[in-house]
Amino acid sequence: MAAAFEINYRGVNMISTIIPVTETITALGADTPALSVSDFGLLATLALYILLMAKELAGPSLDNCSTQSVFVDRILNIGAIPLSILFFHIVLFETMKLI
Amino acid sequence: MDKAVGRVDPVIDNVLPNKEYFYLCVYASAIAVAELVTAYYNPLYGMTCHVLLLLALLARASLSHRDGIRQVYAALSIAPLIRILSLSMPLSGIQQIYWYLVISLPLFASAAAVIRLAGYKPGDMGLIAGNLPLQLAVAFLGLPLGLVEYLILKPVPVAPLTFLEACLPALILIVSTGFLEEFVFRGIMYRACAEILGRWRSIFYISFIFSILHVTYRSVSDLIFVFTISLLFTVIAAFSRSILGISLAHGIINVGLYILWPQLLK
Repeated sequence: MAAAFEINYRGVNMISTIIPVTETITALGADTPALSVSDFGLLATLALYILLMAKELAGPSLDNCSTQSVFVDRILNIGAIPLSILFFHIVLFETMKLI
Repeated sequence: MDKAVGRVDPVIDNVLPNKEYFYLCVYASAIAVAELVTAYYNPLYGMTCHVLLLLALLARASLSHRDGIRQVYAALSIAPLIRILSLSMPLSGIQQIYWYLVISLPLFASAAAVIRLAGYKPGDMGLIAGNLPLQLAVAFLGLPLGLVEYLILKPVPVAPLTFLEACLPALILIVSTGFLEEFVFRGIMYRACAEILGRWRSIFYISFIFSILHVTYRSVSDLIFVFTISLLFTVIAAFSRSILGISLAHGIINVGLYILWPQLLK
C-alpha cells in the first residue's frame, strides 16, 4: 500500500501549502545546486536561537513583568514552539541515523 | 469590536492608518518574493527570505500596541513558518503519506500559540457546526472539485486499494492538509484580518497569501485553480461563519485526487 502511494504522490500537485523539500527540489530539477536537508535545518535552528534569545531578553522577568513583555513572550512562542519541535525532530532523526 | 460576531466575520472596528495597509501589502509581496525565490532561483535563498520574514513579522507584532494589528502580524507569521517547516523537516525514511502529518504537528502548535495570544474562542475561528445541511453540501463540493483537479493534473494510477487500506491515508489528508490549512488561513488569518481590513479586502488578501504559497509547484494553471478555490472557500467561511464544510471539502479534494478518482477513472 505504501509503495503504491509513493508512486501516486510523485510529481502530482495538491491543494496544499505544505510542500516538503524533496518535492520542491524535484520540481526545481537539475538547475538547482546540490542541497541537503541539513542546510535548511541549520537555518531553521539559527532562527530558533534568535527567537529564544529575544524571548530571554524581551520576555517577562522578575524585574519586568509588564503586559507588553507578556505579549512579546507569547508572540515569540508562535515561532519558537514549532521551531523547537523541528529541532527535536532533527536531533531525533540524526540520532536514529547514527544508530 | 462587533459584539454580534459569531465570529469569523467581524467588521472593521475603527479606521486603520494608511501606513498599515501599506505594510500589509509589503509583507504579502515579501511572502510572494520569498516563494518565487524558492521556486525559481534557489530554495536555500528562499528559505533565508522566509526566516527573515518570520522574524520581521514577529518583531512587527511585538512592537504593535494595537490588538487587531498585533493579531494580524502574528497570524501572518504562520505563512513563512509553513515553508520553513516544510523545507527543513527531515523526512527521508518516512513513508510519504506521513510527511504531511509530521509537518502539520508543529503548525498546529504554532496555530495554538496564535490563538493563545489573540484569545480567540472556537466560534471566532469558525470551529462550529453552523448550518449542518449547508456545511455538508459545501463538503460535497470537494468531490467535483477533486475530479476537476484530477482531470487537470492526471496523476499516475495506483495499484488498487481496499476501503480499509485507504482509510488512514484519507484521514491524514483530511486532517493534515484539509483541516489544518482551512483552520490556519480561513479560521485564524481571516479572523485576524477581517477585524482591521473588513470582509472583502480580507477575502482577497487571504486568498492571495494562500495561493502564493503554491508557487513552488511551478504551475500557472494550478495557481489560478487554487486562487479561485481559495476565494470560494474564504467567501463560504466569511458568510457561513464555519470552516467545517470547507475543511471537509478541502480534504475530499485531496483524497479524490490521490485515492478516489485515480481508482475510479483509471
